[in-house]
Amino acid sequence: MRANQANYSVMPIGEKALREKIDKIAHDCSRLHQYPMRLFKEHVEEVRKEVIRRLLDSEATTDPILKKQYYLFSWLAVYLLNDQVEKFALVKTSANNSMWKQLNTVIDDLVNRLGLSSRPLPFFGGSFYCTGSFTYTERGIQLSPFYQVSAESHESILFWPLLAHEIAHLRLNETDMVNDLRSELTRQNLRNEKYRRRLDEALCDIMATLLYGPAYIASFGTKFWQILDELSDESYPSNQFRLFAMFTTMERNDVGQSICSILRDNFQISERQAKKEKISFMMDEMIELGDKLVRHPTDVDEAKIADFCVNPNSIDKGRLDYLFNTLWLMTYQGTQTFDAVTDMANGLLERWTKGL
Amino acid sequence: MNYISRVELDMTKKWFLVEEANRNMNIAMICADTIYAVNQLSGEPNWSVDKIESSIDNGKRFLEEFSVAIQSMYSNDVSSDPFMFSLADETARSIEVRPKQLVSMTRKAIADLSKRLLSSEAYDLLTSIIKVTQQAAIHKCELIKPIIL
Repeated sequence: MRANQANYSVMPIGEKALREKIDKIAHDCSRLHQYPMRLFKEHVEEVRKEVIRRLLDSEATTDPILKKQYYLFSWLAVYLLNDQVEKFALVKTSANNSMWKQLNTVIDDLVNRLGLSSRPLPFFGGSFYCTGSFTYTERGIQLSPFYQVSAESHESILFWPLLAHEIAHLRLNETDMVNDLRSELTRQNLRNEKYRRRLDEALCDIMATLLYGPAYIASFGTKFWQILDELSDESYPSNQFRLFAMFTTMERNDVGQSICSILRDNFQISERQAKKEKISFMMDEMIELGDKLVRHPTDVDEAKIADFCVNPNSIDKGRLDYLFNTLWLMTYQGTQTFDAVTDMANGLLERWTKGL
Repeated sequence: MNYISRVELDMTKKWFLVEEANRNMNIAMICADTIYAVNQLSGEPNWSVDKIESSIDNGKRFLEEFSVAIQSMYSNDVSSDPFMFSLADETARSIEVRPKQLVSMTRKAIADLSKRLLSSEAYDLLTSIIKVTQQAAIHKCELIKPIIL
């Protein structure tokens, strides 16, 4: 006897129910014709076809272990798709938000500069995060990746550089260049998955810093500095290490050094504390990898930024790295209030999206 | 930990949970497809010849990677990523064999697949990996959001 003789008579009913569910989801999405909504419809259709194929395999095989596996795969695909549908409702609502076009402009900037294979669907949610179907392309599984990225609604546009960290997660999903660093963790006896997560988080910080320069450090530090030290979640590198790695990345690339020194004064980083982080021994390799993964890193020229602080309207259209860095410098120098800088950012980005 | 920071944390963690659930399920699928493909060689096939051949090749490639991960459990000269390492470790525990025994079982399964065969030992190895990865995938899903009412 090769496998347990379980009673699988319930399976056909379960399979039918799953098939009906995925058909309903696909039907609900079938009227989405406009980009970027169409992307979701295409994704749903792709998942539906795969689920149907796998349910047929489940029906056809006589091996109970395989039957269960094909059913579970279909179940998981529908489970994750349901979660994406929930988020997609937020995409539809977000399309009516006055900041929708601006959000898409930032997403496009990041997708292009990171060379991402699939454009994520953005929406306004409860915080900055990303989700989706990630690894279907691994080892012969055929589905293409599908991503969703949330920007915290009601948060000032000044914090949107945090989206760079989220999109960097998607970039890491599309490369095997990170495997050597992950293997190094096991070599160093850091085998628990929490270290792999910490490595990914630190790499995403480094990539986000390369994309938006000191503006990313300012967004991250301003939003989290007071909170992160109170957290004890082991999936994240220490706050001290994260900021130390960001500043070191800027130093190695010799970008935005005078803005960084203003920020350093505010965020008091201790190198000694930073190096207590278990994954800190790989920082140089992480920065090296970040350099390889970011296709177009920022090259913010501080003399230009100083000019833009006097006349923000002269910032080159589409240069979001210059926009964010100018605005954060104005904020930290205290030449404008936070509210005034936020209004300025909204106005400039709105003009750019209208092509003015 | 205050409410806001917990929400931030949960959302970022979700990224890893979905990724890890997918990774586990993909491996379970590769192993299942390998068994199903070999079964179809001796009977009326449901899949195309190309799909059967590529499924067996994917299974072989995975087992080669898996074999490296097992070796990294006892040899300092070999390394693998933490995910494959813990899969190798969990599989060895679940079938109660030492890593070196598991390597030889895996090599035997690779040799079987090269000949387009599947011995009962190779079948047991692949189904054990399926069970380990199924459990991990469902556990990650449960952490994403409750599955049972």
